[in-house]
Amino acid sequence: MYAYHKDKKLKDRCAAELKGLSTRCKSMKIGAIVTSDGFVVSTHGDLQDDGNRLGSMTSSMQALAEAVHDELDLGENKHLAFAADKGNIVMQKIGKYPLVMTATFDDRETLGHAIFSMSATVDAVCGQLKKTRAKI
Amino acid sequence: MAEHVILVAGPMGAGKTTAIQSLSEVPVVSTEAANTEIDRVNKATTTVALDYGEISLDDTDKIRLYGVPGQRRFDFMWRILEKRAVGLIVLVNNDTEQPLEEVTYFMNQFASIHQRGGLVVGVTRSDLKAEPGIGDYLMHIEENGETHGMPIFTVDPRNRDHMVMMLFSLLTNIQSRAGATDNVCLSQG
Amino acid sequence: MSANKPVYSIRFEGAGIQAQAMVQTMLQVDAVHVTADWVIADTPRIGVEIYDSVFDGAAGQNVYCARALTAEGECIAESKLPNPFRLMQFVEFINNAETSFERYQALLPETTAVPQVPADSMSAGSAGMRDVVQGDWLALAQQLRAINQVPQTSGYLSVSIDSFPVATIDLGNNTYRRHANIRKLLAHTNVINSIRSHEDSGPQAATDVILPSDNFLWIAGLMAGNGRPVPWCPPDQAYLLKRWPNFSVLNHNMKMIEMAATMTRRPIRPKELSLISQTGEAQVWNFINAVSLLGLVEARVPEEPLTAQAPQAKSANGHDGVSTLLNKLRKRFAQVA
Repeated sequence: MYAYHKDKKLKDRCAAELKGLSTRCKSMKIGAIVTSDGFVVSTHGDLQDDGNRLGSMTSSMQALAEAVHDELDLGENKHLAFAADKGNIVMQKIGKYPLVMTATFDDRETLGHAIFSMSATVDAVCGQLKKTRAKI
Repeated sequence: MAEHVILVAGPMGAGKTTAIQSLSEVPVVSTEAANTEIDRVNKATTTVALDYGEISLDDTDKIRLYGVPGQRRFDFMWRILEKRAVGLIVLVNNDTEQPLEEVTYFMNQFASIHQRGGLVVGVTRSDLKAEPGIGDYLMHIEENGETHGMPIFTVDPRNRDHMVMMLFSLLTNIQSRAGATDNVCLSQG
Repeated sequence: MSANKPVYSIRFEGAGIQAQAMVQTMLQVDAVHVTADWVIADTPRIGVEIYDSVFDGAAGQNVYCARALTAEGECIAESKLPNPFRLMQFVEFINNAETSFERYQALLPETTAVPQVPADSMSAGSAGMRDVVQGDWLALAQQLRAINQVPQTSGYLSVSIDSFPVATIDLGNNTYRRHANIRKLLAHTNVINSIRSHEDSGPQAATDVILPSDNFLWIAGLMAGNGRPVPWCPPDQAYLLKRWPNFSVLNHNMKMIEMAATMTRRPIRPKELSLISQTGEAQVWNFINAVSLLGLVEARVPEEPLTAQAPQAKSANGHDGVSTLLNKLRKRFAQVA
């Protein structure tokens, strides 16, 4: 499979999209785009160990969510959201690519708006991916 | 219902998912993702959270089998899953880079299971690479402080008989340790 | 039905319902003497077939023909049983069949077969061949043990019956070639006509199977003592298993796994092992003989006198949960391991 996390141009473009999201959506604190097997492509915000641990956890959560969707025959997974006291976490697959975006939003943001904002960024990243050699 | 959790651990490509598929009587819950490290381990997908299978023994007892991801970066899943486990199957592919070190690495990572229950080691893909042999593994394990009596076998994870033999050896070994120390409790249910 | 016993079938071909009822009754009467579970079945599987009785001129009476068949349909024991059945003759036939099946299964494992040498590279020569020994399984085991104690880097050892090679051990590669004729061992349990050492690989056939030599040592070890200690395993010693046999390449049953687990913990006397594992002493000795031939066992002078109560005291020690689980697992996988 294409090694997205080793594509320098893609990493830069993804970083720019994450930065764009944080500009449009001030409540976004942390963002990351990771491969479905947990490697970090790009991050934004203050993350420990370059986001590697968050990358792995995102990969695991996404896979577990898909396993539940399969079990219940609910079709394709769209996004995964967690609400916590201090904010929300949203994870969303990037189109048909083996990539996932994850972002945290503080409690100024409603979950619905967070998902809406993130979807727009996911579409933009899909556009960037079409410019690479990456195959779905 | 008493539930007995057995963990299957080992490096990426050792055959953990296949082993659980061989043993489980229910469709295995797998969390596979496309493998971007194909240059390192030649397989299309890799487990990123867990594999889950089960064996119902009767109305009151069930063995739950959990396979953990092999890569170090998923070690948070190891910590989550090891809590309820009473036994550990370590699988290592003999054609991996440092198979001896891999075995002791996983034994150390899951030392708590070994202490409260037991473990068994299965060497896979020894048909593709004969060395190191079982004697080498035992020597290495004992050099790393493990006491005598560790069950270790060459196995094919696709072979259900091999996997049943490993599971039975694991539980028998836990039983004989319980007889020797009287401080092992198998059921966590 | 006991979970840890092998299950064999009895199938009737033409024999009437009365014969079937008689056999069922005899099996119930003699349940304590048989080592397997026998079930009446219509489908062909490993077991016994009993054919409708015919008049046998030589015997001067009606007889049933009974054959013990392997899963592949190969007849490995045959007998004529009088009509009406006589209990002792029937039991003797059933016991013989059980023994034959045990031996047959001991010769079966092929899980680690390695690729065949192409037939066109066959070496027909047998130069340098010399007789090592003539005798039985024990003689063969002694010979193999002697060879194991002096590591060799090359050479072959052929085992033959009636001049037919049944196995050729490659001492250099730790493998053995199992010839199709090995089935003859089933019928000649105590007569191995010749064991020869030679320097070339000997004749090979496409039907040969190559297996790890431990597998052959294991078979020889299981057969060598015939339920009694071999000369190099003193009966009054305690035995410690230095490491587990690699069961995946050795024909085994769950009792052997239990014995291995017990023997790796501490040196144990065979009688005590028999009590703890609830296994007959003959089976215990066969196991000890086999692991000793593989070089996995260490004999020690027992530290304490044997007390017959020791095993009972142990079983009351509060690890019943594990034992119950194992019993259930044994039942669940009785047909597999």
